[in-house]
Amino acid sequence: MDEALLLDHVAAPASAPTPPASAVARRRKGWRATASFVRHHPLLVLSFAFLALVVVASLAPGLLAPYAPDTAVLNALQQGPSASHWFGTDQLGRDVLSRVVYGTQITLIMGILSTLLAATVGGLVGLVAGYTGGILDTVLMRVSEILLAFPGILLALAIVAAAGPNERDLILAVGIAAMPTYAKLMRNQVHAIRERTYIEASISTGARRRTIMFGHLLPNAYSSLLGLATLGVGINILAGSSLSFLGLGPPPPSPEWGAMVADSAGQIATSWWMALFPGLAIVLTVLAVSVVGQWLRARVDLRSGERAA
Amino acid sequence: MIRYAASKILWGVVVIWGTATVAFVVLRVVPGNPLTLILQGTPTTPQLVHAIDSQFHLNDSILVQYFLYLNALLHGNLGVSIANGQSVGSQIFAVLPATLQLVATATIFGGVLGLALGLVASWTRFRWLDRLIGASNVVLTSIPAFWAGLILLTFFSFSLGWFPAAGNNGFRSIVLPTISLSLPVIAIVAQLIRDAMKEVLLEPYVLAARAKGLSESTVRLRHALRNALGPALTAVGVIVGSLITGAVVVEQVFAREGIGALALRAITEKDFPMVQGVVLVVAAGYVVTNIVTEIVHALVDPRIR
Repeated sequence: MDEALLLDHVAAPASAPTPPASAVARRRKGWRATASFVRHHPLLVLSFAFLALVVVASLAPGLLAPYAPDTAVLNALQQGPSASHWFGTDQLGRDVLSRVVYGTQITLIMGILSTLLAATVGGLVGLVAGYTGGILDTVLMRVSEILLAFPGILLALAIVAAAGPNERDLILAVGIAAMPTYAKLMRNQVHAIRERTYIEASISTGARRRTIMFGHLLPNAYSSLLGLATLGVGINILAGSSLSFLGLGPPPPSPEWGAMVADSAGQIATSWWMALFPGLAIVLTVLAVSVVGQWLRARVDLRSGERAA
Repeated sequence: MIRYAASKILWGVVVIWGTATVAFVVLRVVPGNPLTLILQGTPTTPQLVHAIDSQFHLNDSILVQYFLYLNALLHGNLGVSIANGQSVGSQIFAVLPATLQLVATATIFGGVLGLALGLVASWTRFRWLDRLIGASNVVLTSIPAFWAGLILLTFFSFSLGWFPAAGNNGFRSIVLPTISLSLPVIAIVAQLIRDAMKEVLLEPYVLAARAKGLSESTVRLRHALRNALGPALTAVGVIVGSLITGAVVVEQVFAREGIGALALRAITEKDFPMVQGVVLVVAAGYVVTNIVTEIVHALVDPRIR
């Protein structure tokens, strides 16, 4: 903090009863608020910072990676972490750090797209089921339960068994497996909201079904879906990398993190770094997403709680 | 109670039928018809094609195929493996006990440890301990089982040599797979127990028990815990279901024989009756555990019925 700021800080209470907030004071207030936020939510701030790093790595991996992801260096096979290769090299002499950085994009796309798919389709199903009620509601929810009983990994197995390992079907499988959770949540939210007076009012004024569903119910119900979706990105990254570990994801030489861990499994006794770092990348990313997701959800709950009161 | 149980079981049958249908449809709408899948890599003769056609009824309409498939299922016939011509059912049931054993140990280990941690978190006077347990719960749910397994292997098998690295023989070989499979179970159970305990402890009957002069441990363990167990008990059904799929990954890491290894082999061999069979058996396992936990829950807590 510089001199002027300090002086301003000391002088402020002595000035006129309602001093016009100067730009400096406002900035200082903003800065202080930020500092207190950082102090009170250290984990959250760290998570945001890490996610920012992840986003940079996925958009511009070349900025962070010291080497190309698939350049094999034959005189540097399976070397441990060193100054020139922070995360060591793999059995083909590729730089593990660079591969982890380049793998970010695949992982992030997988997590986000599958969640988007699950939340959109699941949310729509839940919206229709919750608003329409009756037989359609029962049927849709029962189908969701069947899908919930259909284990996610096996759904992917079934799809990949015929189509062969690829990224698109992996995303599809993870997304479909996650759908029923969103459908159920949305349905219960809509079910609770549709009894409110404002919905009743708009029904009695002759509003169209579409207007009620998308104009009134959706805006009031989607916030809790958002919280779940944030957590869902983390869960889907875990699911997707597990499938990829089993060889059901993008084929080699893709630097997908789960596939990297699988590649290293045979060398684990001698070259621990090959498994440690890509796995750590998964753990930290999922952790950061979970922390942010839980914070978001708590905020959303707080707000909807206030609104309900 | 019987009515409740009967309705649950009936619903379970419907779910299994639905899963069978999904498996049937998925394996037929995906690109590449079963015939080409079966014949991949093998020199094709008209006789062979005819034999496969008649075995899988590929010349009949899809609807006829579906009813033949359901009819076979009703007779407990899961079909014949393409890869080795043996019964799918007998191959699955030969390895099923190994997987079930792993799932059972992981459920028990995770449940007991989670219960203990949850109780400590709800009981402790120290806020930091409660927070520490809460934080480690988030960490535990962020760790992929395959990675946990490999890291455990590095330390306890390769460096320390305490446990065998692979296979299924005896108690020592199941310790590391159990731990890597149960990490999220510990976290989920601990969190559910902690939250439920915190809520239950505010109930008037807890105040009454305390006012009666009962010791704190009696109040918590005999009165509060019994009512706080509900959410955790319901969750166990879902957890066991997810553990069956988690076992697929863990079996791969530890080179254990089981449903997972069978399923993966079936995929690489494009053995679609086998994939279909595994999917069905796993889904049935999921449904049965859920029915059992729901009935147990209803027995413990009569308000549910």
